[in-house]
Formats: sequence, C-alpha cells, structure tokens
Amino acid sequence: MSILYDNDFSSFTVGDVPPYGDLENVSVVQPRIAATIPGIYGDANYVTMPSLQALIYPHINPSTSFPAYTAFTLFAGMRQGQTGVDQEGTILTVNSNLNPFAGATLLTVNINSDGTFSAISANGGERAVSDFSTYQEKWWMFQISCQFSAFAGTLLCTVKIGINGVTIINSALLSNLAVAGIPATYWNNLILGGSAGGSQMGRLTIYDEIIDIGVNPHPGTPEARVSQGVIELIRLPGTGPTPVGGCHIYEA
Amino acid sequence: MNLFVDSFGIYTVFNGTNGVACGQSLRNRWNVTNTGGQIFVQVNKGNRGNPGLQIGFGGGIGKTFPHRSTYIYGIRVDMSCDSGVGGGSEFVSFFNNNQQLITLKINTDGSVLVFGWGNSSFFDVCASSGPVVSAGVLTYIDFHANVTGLTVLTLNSEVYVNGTLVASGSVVLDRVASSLTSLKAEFNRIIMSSGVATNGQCYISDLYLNDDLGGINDTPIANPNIKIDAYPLPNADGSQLDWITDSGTIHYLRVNENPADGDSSYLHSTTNGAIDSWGWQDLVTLSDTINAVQLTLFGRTTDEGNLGVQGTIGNHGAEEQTQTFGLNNDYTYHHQSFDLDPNGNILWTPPNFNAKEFGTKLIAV
Repeated sequence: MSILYDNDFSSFTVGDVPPYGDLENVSVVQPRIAATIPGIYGDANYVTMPSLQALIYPHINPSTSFPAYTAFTLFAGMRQGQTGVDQEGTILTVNSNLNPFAGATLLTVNINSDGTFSAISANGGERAVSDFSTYQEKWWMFQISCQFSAFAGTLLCTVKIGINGVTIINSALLSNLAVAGIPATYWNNLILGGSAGGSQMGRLTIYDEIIDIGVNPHPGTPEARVSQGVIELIRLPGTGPTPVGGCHIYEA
Repeated sequence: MNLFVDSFGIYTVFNGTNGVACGQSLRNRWNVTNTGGQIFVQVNKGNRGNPGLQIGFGGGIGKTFPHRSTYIYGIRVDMSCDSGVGGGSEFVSFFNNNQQLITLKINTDGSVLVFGWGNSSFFDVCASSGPVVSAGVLTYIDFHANVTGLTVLTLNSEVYVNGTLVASGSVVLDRVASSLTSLKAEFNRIIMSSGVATNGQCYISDLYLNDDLGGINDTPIANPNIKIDAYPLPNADGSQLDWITDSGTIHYLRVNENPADGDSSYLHSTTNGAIDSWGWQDLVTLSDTINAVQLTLFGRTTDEGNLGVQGTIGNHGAEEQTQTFGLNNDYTYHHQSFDLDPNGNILWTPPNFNAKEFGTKLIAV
C-alpha cells in the first residue's frame, strides 16, 4: 500500500488558493483555505469547495505519462451544503487519460438532493444509490474505493463507499465503456467537487489500492461520546386499570 | 415494519428568540429544513401537551429513509389558515430522491386530495374526499402509498382520517422507473410542507413511518388514539457501566438531559465492546399495546479513525443490539426501531418494556 496524497491543509494560510501539493485547481471559482468555522476533528484549516468540479489530482493537465492504477481508496473529511439548499452535485470523478481513453470518466460519485449518494459507472452505466444520507453542515468522513477490471469486454467498477466507517454502497457496476484494445483499465487522475451550496474539505488521503471500509490506515486517537439516550414508542391505549406511580413526561 | 417515529419531544423548543438553536436541533435528525417559512418546535402544540412541530407557510422539512415501494405514514395535525383548513398547497410528499412522486394536500374546505407527478401532468388525481378535516382541530391522518411498475409507474393510495378510510384510488403516470434516480419504482424521502396559505400554519406530532415488509406494522395503524411519546430520561444506572463519565460518578445523569446538551455532559469510551446500560422510566398503563420501540443515541467521535456505537436492549449478558452507527465529528442522532422485543422476538408488552435496560456499546468498525 502506498499513499499518493495526504493533507490536512494545516500548512497553508487562510486565503491560499491551489495548488495544495499535487492537488490543483480546475474551477473558475477557486477553492481557498479558510478557518471560519471549526474544522474537522479540531483542525483549524479546511478548503472551501465551490459547487463545481474544483480540485484535480495530480495535475491540471492530465497526461498519458502520469502513473496509472487499477484501484484507489480516498478518505475525505467533508462538510456538505447549506441549510435549505439542494445538495445535488458531483463530488468525485475518476478518469483515465491513457490512450485511447483521452478524457474518459470511469466512475462518478454524486451526492443527491437529499444527501444520499450515487455511484455511476462509465458512459451512463449501472448505478447504485445509498439509503444513507448525510445531514447538512456537519463534518463526515467519506471513504470511497474502487477496483477497475474488465468483464465481458467492458469496464467493471467494483465500488464501495463508507461514511464514518460504515458501508453505504457496495456494488459491482458494469459500465458502457469497452476496454478492447488496451492492456488494462487504469485511472490516472481524479477530480473532487463540492455539493450545491458549496462544501468544505478538511482532510484528504488517497491510496493506490483498495482499503476495506472500516479500516483507517492512519487514525488519530478517537474517543466515542454519547450525550443523550432517547426512547420513543408507539402505544395504543388499553382498557385495563392504570397503576398509580412512575415518573413520566409527555404521557397523558 | 416500523422505520421511524418522532415524538418531537427531544428537540430544542422555540422560546421566541432561539430559532437558530431550534433549527439546528431538528437538523440533527432531519435532513433538510427549507428556510422559506418558519419551522419551529413549539411547546404544547402536539397532542396531550407534547411539543409539536410548527411549519409556517413556505416552510418544509424532509428526511430520507430506506428505499421502499410502500410507505405508510401517520401524523397528528392541527392546521388552519386565513383561507380555511389547508391552503390547497402541498402537505406531505413522497419522493424518489429529488423526484416527487405523490403528494397529499388538504383543501380550504378540509377535503383531502392525493395526486401523482407525471412527466406531462403534475396533478394526476389518485384519491380524493369530501370535507373531513376541521381547521384548528387535532386530527390524525394515515397516508398509505405504493408505487409499482417499470415502463409506467402506477400509484395506489389510501387516506384515513381519525381512523376512518376517507379516500382511496390509483393513477397511472406517464413516467418510467428508469427516469428515477434509483432506477426503480420506490420512495426514499418524505418532505412535509405547511399545506396552508398565508397567515397560517400546521402543527405536527405523533409521527410514524412504516413499510409493508416483515409481517408486522405493515398496514396503516388508523387509530386516532395512537400515542408516540418520548421517554428521554434514563433514571438509574444499569447493570454494566463500562463507559466513563465526563464528570461525577453517576452514569445516567450524563445522558438524561432534554434537549441534548452535547459536550456539556456525556459518557465516553475508547474500548471496543464497552457497554453502558441505564434503567428507564416505567410505563404506568400496563394494558397498553406497544407497536414499536425506537432507541435513539446522540453521539460523536473526536478524531479520525472509525468508531461506531450500537444501541443495546436488555440486561447485562443478554443484550441485543441495534445496527452499528458510524460516528462523525459533529453530534447527530442515530436511531433504530424495533417492532418486536428483540429478547425473544415477541410482541412488546409494558411489563417487558419496564424490565429492560437500554444503553450503548462501542464498536471499532
């Protein structure tokens, strides 16, 4: 396993625009380093992302000379959207600029209007949609991984998406992209985008292989906290006697 | 199968000046609140003196649920506006992601109209009734809708008002399943709007959502006496206390505040498998029927690395667990409902409920 990119953006100054190392700008509205709200896990800095394709790894000008990989895993600390604003947007495209696939998008990951996620394989291929949705204006840790392969002459994307370590999508998506004539199905650049209403990205780590959902190769020292326990129940009143006593709220 | 209940008894109640805090509290469990109209939790606006959710003209609130072809939705509503009962605007809609499929509205005269959303027509009538809802009167509405089909979508719906079936019907839409985000005939999202015109609002309480799976809680409850209450106050330490208090030595006191106070009082742990359990208030009416019990935890994690929690039901050594909920950096609610007492998969009874401890278990996911 090797890390291709790893950044919590702490080394930058508020207002800095890309490049952030090998992460470069592809947007008319440039991402910027900000520290207006509390960052993820107590960090100060984060990147503000426009509701567009925003940042590309590894370079603004994709090239056939870049290293290519058959798989990836991406960890991103993200805070999506604004209250009352439709969240829909593309948060990730995984692309190949290897001949003959100049500019081909292999996999697209969208956040939908309601905060659920869609993974869509190349050329409008198969699609998986999560039941899980994120709440707006909160920090979440995304984990997105995909293994690319050939199946019956077309590109197959075996994609897994996890949020906070729990799998929300696990699907093998057949694409409409033929793979005949090439030695393998590779990606060599990916583009990150913000949801509608804008997003913030606090941390980003990219690996060159699959890492199972629930495994975090470079964790900090997390502590779980529970601040409230609640029970709500559906009751239909009976006809029997009502014992006296107890301490109840909201029961009449 | 019950998917969700909301008593509206656990949020920050609006006191005239804390609208931001009230909205943030709701957004810890609901996905979106539109900012076009006022959305507040108001004291005494639900049934039995409970809090109620107020949606003013132009407001809306939504939540996603598992994709299902059938949703059965129940709410108690008190609706009125200058025009009459409702304003004829959208009240409750079921979506496939951002694609609206079916809508219930209440007209100015209190009649009910259900319509589907086709490609070429937005008002394909599915079911309707005469005047059945009165302005300013708490009324229980069950809304049962089903969507099927591949090349065309067919909607079926029923509406019960105070336990009586008042409208039913079906409609075929000029819309195909492949046009939907999930590519299937199914719902995954509910949005509630005010349903009124200007100078009006609705108050909502006693909310439930079922699907038609599992053989239990798979039909409309259709009983106006339904009660969905919150019991958010653990009142005793349980038989297993593995977590650590942020202050003091009594565990249940760190998780029994209402509304939740986040990092002001909490239990914490870094130990995989650690369980903390608490005694709960007893139900007093032992002859009640319990249709479902939902356990909700308000939690977060402090650093990168995958930590989750499960809710636990039952005493030390005999706990059953909810699904695992991944924790994120900000506090959010994590909930799961049980149609049956998981200790034996039997119908819930008040004595069995009263005997249970409920708690949390840390899971290194």
